[in-house]
Amino acid sequence: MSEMSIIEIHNLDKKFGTNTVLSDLSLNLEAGKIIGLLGPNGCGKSTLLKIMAGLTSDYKGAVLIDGKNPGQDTKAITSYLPEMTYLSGWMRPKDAFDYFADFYPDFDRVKAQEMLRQFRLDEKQPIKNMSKGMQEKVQLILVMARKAKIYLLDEPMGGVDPASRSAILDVTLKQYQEDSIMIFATHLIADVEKIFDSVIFLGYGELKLFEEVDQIREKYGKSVDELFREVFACSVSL
Amino acid sequence: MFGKLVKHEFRATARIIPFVFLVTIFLALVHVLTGRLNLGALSKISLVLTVLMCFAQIPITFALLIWRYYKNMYSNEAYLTQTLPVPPSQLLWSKLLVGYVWAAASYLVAAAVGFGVAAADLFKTSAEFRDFRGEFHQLLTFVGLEDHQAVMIFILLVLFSISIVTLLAEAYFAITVGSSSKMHGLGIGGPILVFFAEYVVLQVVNTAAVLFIPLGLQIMSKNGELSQFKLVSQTMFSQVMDSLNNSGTRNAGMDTGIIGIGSMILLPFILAAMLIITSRFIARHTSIK
Repeated sequence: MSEMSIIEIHNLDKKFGTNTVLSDLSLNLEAGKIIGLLGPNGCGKSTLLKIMAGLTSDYKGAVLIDGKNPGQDTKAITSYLPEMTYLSGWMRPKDAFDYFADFYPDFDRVKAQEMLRQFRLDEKQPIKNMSKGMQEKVQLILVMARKAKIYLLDEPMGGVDPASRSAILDVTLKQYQEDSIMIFATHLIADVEKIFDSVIFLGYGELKLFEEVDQIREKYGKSVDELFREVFACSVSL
Repeated sequence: MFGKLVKHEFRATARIIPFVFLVTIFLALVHVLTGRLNLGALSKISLVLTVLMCFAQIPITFALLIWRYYKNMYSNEAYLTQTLPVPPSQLLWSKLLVGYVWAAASYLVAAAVGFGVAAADLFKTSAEFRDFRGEFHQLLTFVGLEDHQAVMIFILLVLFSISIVTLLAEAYFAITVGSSSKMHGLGIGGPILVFFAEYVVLQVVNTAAVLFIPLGLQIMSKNGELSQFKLVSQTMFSQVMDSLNNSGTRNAGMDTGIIGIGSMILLPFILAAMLIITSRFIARHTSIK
């Protein structure tokens, strides 16, 4: 394992049928950083996060999480937030807390309850009776209430209103541990680029750019959002 | 961790499956009550519904368990289940154990309700029930099992348990293999396709085992009446060939036949193979959409 690299990816290839989603991707990611994973729809961001989370195991190449292949040990130190709702409809936040407390020793129930109050959510309201935004908040609480080494967040703000976005960012930053790594996949670049230390531009399975945000501003004289729009520009005739 | 998986699996499944049993029990109670109150039509309708529900609750329970496995392991809930820090084999075994308990409960509730309704309708007096018990013992004596009731119950329970686990293991195998990335394009059709392929292969293997494994139940009948049966180390195929060649044992009105039971020897091996493959597939070929 490279010194300081908590995630190492070497020559990663992933296909779904004949469709190549990730092609010869190599990355070394260090702890202590918040990294934006950016790219157009279908470029492989979610697939990359799933591989790191241990949800996709049939790929070619090497993926090492804290020096180990994704599996039982790496799942114990990885806190993953998927794009979709993964809680059963009957579950209430209280039940989800019980579940997490049972399986993750690093889950902090007090912290979770505090965040729940902050978002004005009811501990006893079933998930099925919540709006999509509320469900996303509950899942974010579950993920951020863990003291994990690795946080993988896939579109954590996709379904929430603009006012809640800043609250989510505040919670995310407040709970983030300095010695851990956070990979944050999103389309809402302008809203979140201020929290990124580095960004990865993923263009249809290939690495387009991996640089620190400060360097981008210095080198290109642009914000991450502006550079993203330039790199992934589509010509649309109306 | 296994205990926690079992606990949460019970908690999740207990929200639906017992209600299926409650419907059956409720209908049976309605039947008994309306019978006592001499409400003829209502009593008959509730009896029909009770009988239908007794039969239906078993496939309903299996369907719910199989759907739960798919949703929890390969649909949206998989994002939580498959990121738990537990070995894949424990995920499988916890679901199998809980599934077994609910499926067995389903059979037991159906049998208990069926017997209860029959007892309420047929045995109006304790003498009638004694007569029934007497006839049942006569049947056991006739088939030579009167002195081996404990052994018979044990064998039946083992076979019953194996058949439940096998059914669940077949379904879990099909869902796991059918949800791998190579079959993503087929959606829910993947597991269905694998299930049918698996069914055909297992039928062929079982038929071969019944015909060619030298273990059978020899049944002898005299003048058309069952007289004796015993275990023999002979293949059913050889007996069929003997019969076709007119060289089978047939003398003084005595008929002999062999039913191959070799598939019962093969079944535990098939079951073990399916569980090992399923567990490995979860570990190595998981690909959540």
